[in-house]
Amino acid sequence: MKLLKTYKVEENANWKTGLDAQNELYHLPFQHRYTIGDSFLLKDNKYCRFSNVNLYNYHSVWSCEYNPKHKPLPTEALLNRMDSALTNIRFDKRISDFDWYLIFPNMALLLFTGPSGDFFMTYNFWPLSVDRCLWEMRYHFPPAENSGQRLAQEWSIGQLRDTLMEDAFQHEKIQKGLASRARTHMIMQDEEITIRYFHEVLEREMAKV
Amino acid sequence: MNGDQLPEAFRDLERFISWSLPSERERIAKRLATPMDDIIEFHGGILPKLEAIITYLNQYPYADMPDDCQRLCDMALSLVEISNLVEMYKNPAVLNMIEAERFVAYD
Repeated sequence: MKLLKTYKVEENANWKTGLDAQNELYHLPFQHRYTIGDSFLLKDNKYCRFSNVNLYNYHSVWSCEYNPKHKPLPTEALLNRMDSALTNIRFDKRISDFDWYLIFPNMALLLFTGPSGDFFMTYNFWPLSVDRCLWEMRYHFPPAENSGQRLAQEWSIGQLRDTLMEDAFQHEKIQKGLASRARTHMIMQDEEITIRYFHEVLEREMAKV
Repeated sequence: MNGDQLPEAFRDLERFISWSLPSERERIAKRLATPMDDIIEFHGGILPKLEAIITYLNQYPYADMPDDCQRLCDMALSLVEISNLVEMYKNPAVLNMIEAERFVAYD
């Protein structure tokens, strides 16, 4: 795997606000309806519920499947068909099509199934102050053997990038809402179990300091 | 333009040579600075040739292409940059995204 692309954004948000917002799945059909459409919508799972969750001592992972009936866009369909790498690199020990690991405290590892090979991303959230952070996103792909593979990689990067730009926009909105103190509590539902667990571990570890 | 920027089979695409940009930052800046009608014209001009472009470029290893092929590949990367805008978003105003200049790409 090769580091192919890095994005960095300085956000007006606490680092945990950004990390928490990424650490669930069910916002996809709503927040990203224009950018990823039906990619993750299953016939019997229209609200993007997890297909699997594991909680470890510090870390956690959730997973989901892709929509096998996803209707690709014209450029996407052509690139998928022309993505003809000779080396088909697949990760071992996958849970589902998309696995999202939180590596305590401030990192995430995202494993994706790609058309001609798997790829992965990392997130790092670095605190800059109580209400500012640096979010780093890194994409790792198999080295492109030919232009068809490289163009398909760039399409995947660009689609994900647009969703992350929507996420970054929301992180700052959430921070603004939190800072208003209009609400004293936020209720975390079942699809946010990994967010709840992250804060449980965080409080446990902070109590040791 | 001197007429030999792209491989001979794709010379008709030289009218879009300003889209041949080697970095994502340049491609994003071009997308943001270009009127939607011109983006749609570029998309409509190059997409029907994309299969032939990839077939031609795949003769060469990605890391070792002649200069004219690299320019053609960079132009195809610009198609990838604008494809979702044309094919899905239609109107960038529907997207609530952080400002592009704050979301910095490093190739």
